[in-house]
Amino acid sequence: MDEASRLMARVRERDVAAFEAIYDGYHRLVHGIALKMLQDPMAAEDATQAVFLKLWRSPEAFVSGNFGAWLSRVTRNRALDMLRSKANRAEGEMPVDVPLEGALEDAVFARIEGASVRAALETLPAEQRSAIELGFFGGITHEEIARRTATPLGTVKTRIRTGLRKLRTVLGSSVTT
Amino acid sequence: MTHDDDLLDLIAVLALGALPAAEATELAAHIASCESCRSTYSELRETAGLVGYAAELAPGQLDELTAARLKSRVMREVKRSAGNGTALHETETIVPENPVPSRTGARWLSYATAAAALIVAGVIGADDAALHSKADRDQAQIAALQAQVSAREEVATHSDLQARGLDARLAAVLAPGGRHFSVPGGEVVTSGGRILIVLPHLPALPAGKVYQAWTVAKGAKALKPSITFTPDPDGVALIELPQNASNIAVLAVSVEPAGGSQQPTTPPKFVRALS
Repeated sequence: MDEASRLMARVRERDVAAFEAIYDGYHRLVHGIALKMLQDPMAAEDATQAVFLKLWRSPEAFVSGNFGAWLSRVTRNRALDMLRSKANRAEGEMPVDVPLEGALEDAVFARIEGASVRAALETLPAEQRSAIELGFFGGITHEEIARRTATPLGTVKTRIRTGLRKLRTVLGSSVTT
Repeated sequence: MTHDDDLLDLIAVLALGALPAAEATELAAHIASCESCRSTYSELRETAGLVGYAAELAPGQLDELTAARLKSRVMREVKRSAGNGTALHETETIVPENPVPSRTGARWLSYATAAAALIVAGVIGADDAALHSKADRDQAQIAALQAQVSAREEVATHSDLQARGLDARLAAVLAPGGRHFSVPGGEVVTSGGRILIVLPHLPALPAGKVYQAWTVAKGAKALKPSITFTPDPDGVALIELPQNASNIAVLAVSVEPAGGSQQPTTPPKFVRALS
């Protein structure tokens, strides 16, 4: 079990100090995603606050696996909800985490940080990187990605799969060597 | 099982969160029943989550004043919540009491109640048995009041649950340790206290009709209405119930008039004991 998982176990026991440690360790990740997606400093602060308060309210939503990856998805969904708030969407989800089956150990990816992910993304062909970043941070469908990049839909899908596969391989090797 | 590249491509798109809802629902139903696809999806989904790190702010990138103000806001709310022992921003909605069940409802209610009774007798064990043996009238009244409050809270969270993304529902379906109960045309999955119904091939409904879920709480005899739902145009439904799985002994689904019923008006599509 990595440090984040241990802290989250204490958060489930309503340990405020453990929650504060989680906040200190991950607020730059949450805030950064919110800022990149919302492009509005005040809205990004609101999203960051909402994500962490929801984490405190529903800590059981995180089961196991890479906490940062899970929290990234939570933040992305919250930011998407805010972007779509004009349509009166309800508040964001807290996805239950799905641990990996037969993949790299949690401890490997627990050491992920922004610089290593940015470096790993740089190793991807530009079209793969673009498709993945548009899908994650842009919150748009693969059909919209195809339209915006004037690329056949099938090609976009394959780029996403190939890119994610390569990203996983690169991230795994970058933190184990 | 070996899948073609197109299916694997779609799983990757779903993992990234870039698949339209209708396609995602259909694919989710397949993934829920395919071990190979579950493994692929789990792996790609975590990798997709790691993409978020590309936006992580560097130390010092956020000015100290903003960082301190924001942390103060968050910690103030958390400490207030911890001090009060209460959840944050929770509200309660009052809903009408259930009327007396109709004769139709009573017919298959008896089946559901019988199933519940079997579970209470054979599976649930000492805690619930002890609950049944309590003769103290005050205790019973307190329990009844607690059950009413619990039911109201469950209904109050209905709208939030309906708004949850497919991602969360699929994650719950796929989570290791989830329990899968076969039902005609699909399955019911309980995972981490959540209850999900996966029905990938539902028949189209007549105009003005919806599907409605029903539950019987552990140790209870009363059938309670749960959410209503309709499948997507392809007949796929992946639905999460607002009730906590740990409290539910039996689940059923029937076809009801739009808006739902307070008691079943048609024979059930299925009645399933969650044991």
